Amino acid sequence: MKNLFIDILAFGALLSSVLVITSKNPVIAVIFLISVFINAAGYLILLGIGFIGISYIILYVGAIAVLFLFVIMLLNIRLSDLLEAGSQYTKNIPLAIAIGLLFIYEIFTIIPFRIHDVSLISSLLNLITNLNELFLTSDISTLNVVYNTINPILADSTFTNFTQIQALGQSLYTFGAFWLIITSVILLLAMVAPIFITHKSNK
Amino acid sequence: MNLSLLLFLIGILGFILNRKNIILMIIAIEIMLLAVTLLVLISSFSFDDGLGQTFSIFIISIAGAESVIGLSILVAFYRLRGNISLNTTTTS
Repeated sequence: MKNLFIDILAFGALLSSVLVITSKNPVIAVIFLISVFINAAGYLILLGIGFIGISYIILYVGAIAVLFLFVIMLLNIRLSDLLEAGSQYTKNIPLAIAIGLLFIYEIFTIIPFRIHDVSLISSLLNLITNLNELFLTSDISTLNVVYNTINPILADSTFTNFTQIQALGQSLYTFGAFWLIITSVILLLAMVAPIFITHKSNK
Repeated sequence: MNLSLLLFLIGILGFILNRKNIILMIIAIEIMLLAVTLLVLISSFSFDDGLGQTFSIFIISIAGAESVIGLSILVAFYRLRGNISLNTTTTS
């Protein structure tokens, strides 16, 4: 049942991301982007990464997608400007096909392992891998196994038993504290920089 | 794992195919960042490591900063031009 839900959520995320990049109206694109984020967050929660999944919904849907919606509403775009992009769309298709094929070939043959695959998607990609083996006669599929030897009854794994948020805070505030300070400086710059960019200087 | 790689591929394709629409390009960058974060999260989770979740928090905050700066550049561009279409054929 859980696998079925994971398959449905992954398929929904892929379908709505395709709908994001093919839609002409930016408001519809942002609404499908919210759908992508919610599907990915549900996928993470069902997988067991609960806190990051919930904070995905809070951060992406609550902050970034609403920011996109505000900017789109602010700009007052004429739809006729965007609708004539169809001729531009077909001109870039050979570049897109070349980069897409290169990406699929590189990633799915060079990365030597597969973890937490969605079985609905990987049935198609196994076909590609089998075709690769047919042409290249290399034994790629033997590389696709990673042997996890994790023993939960080891001594040092039973020292402390953190919950997920406790472990996150432990690593954020001890050895990740310097990265946290750098991230906060970057966020401060991201607050100051739009004020200076969009500030209308009175000459 | 293949979900995040396919999401990254869709983001790249959206970035290439929508050359004229800047808003869709920024949205495609956002999809690519989401895919990278998913990849980090899923691979670290399958190795029983908690460091990937820490790292994904940093990636999420950097994604927020990136989208804020991109959208503010978009607003400044709209004030200069009056529209946001990238007409590369007429200017060059």
